[in-house]
Amino acid sequence: MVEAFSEPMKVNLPNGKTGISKYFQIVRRYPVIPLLIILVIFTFAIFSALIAPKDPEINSLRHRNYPPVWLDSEKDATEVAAGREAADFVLGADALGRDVFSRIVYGARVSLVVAAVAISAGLFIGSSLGLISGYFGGLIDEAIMRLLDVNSAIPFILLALMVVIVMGQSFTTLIIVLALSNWSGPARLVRGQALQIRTMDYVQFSRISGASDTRILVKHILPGTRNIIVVAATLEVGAVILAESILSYLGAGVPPPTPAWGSMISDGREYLLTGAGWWITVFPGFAIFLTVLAFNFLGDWLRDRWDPRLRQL
Amino acid sequence: MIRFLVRRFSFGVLSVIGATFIVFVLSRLAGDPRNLYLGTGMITPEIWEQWGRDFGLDKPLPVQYWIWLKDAVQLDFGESIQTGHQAFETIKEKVPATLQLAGAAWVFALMVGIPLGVLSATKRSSAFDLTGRTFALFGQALPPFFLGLMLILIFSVTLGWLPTSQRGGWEHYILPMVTLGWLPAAAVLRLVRSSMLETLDSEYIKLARAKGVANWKVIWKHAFKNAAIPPLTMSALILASFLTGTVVTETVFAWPGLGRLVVTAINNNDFPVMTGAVLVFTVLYVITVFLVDISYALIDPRIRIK
Repeated sequence: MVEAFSEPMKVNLPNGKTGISKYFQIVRRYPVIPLLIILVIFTFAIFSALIAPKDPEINSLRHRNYPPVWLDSEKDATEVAAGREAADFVLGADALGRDVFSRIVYGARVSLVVAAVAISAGLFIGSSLGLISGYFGGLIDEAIMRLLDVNSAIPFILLALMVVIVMGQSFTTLIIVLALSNWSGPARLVRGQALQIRTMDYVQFSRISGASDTRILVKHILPGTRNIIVVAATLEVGAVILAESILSYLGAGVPPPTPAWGSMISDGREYLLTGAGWWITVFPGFAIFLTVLAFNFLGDWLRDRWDPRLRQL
Repeated sequence: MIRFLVRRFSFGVLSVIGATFIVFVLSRLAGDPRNLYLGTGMITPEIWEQWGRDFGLDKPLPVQYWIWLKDAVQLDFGESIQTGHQAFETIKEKVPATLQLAGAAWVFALMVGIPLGVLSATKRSSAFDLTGRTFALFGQALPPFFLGLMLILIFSVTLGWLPTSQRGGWEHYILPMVTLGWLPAAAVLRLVRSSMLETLDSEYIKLARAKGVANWKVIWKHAFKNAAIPPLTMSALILASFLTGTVVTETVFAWPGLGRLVVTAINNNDFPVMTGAVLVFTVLYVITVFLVDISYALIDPRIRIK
């Protein structure tokens, strides 16, 4: 995906260098900044209740489109004139007067949980099919490959919207739809790997000594595909978070009022166009952007470390 | 070669049938389309029966699919449940808008991706390289709808230079084109860059340089010609990927194309339009992939044997 760390890594250690340049070297060689961002997102997701200053689902009509606390605004003046304290929304409030920052914090939970479950499911289905396809070959392989063809011929968003209509909008539907969208990548990768490992001597020996297909698959071939699966999973996180945000934007994601970054952006759309509140849209957008960026960086770094052959991904 | 073509072609047909069947079944699982009219008071038991006969709704699913497929091959997708117009005509009306947008975005992707890719390969770690890679990073991490909204915020709302939505003169194309084309441009850029780096490293480039050929000539004539094969083939696949991308872009910019049509149709369970549009999407995709396969086989004979 992203090519940031794909330059041939310089191995010269920061010998003799001191101070800032040493830290700079570390930042260049390891994905420090992406890991920090991911750490923050995880903290948001796990300790949402502690971090969020306000309840993300409580409406307050008096505070509709209230600007961020660090912006001077007429609204502050009106509040003070009415004998009340000016509101303190760190990143402003949305059209229902809900705190944007708190919603972003809780939104991290949705994004991460959805990504984790959808990717695990997609990986499980994809790599099982890939293993079977690559190991047995023949008709089974042919059938699975044609299934992949069909899968890639249906535009994903259209399929997702239809499934959401059939099954109703819910957390479970969202995860099923996203799992459907990301099983084919791992399936192809694992298949390729299994095709190679199948011909290795140790697999042949194992077969001669009477091991069953299941044993060979689980004991000999699966471990050989582990790196590729982990790399595929990390590279997939960004894509799944993006897909989730697209579905939420189109109104097919987690049902409201649960905060999700994509639906927050879509909520703010009309106020962005009329100039009544850019913060409703811009901040959740940056949350998605930074998260996806961080996971892409991490995925690239892992890929280059473990499997440089995948660089074309 | 003939065997290869026949094999590939039958895979394509199989994909179309598989994809449309899934969509067809899903559209029926979403409920009998007649249910939509239950609340309106329009439906009497007679009309229910008659619509059942007219639309083939009273037969088992595989039979219904077979009927639909037979008609669809003759470009008869049935009548739109919402408007009563021929679904094929409705779809045909929307296709040009989508193709124009996709075409513009494709040109944008190539015009930006190729030069930036070559520049960042030939001048590594320079300002060009940095710009190119930042551009690629943004393209891969920005949600397309957010990118579109930000472009609207900057260029339409704040600066007032460009229109926010709808189809119209050339100025209407710029923002949707950039929104749809950014991610593919990033993909082209990365591929051109790595392909150029590989080619520039080869013996015949060194020979050309040793002979004293001018630098720009080495880069554009000797290296780029060879390095361009993978990106150009991929650019066809990019065009195919736009079919999904247009759904989002058209929604953001209220672009009156196929993507928006199909979203509306799905929301109203207007199954003739829905399945018809998906058929058009799938056929376009399969044709593109087929052409890419052929061009690959022509360029690289090893693929034919596989």
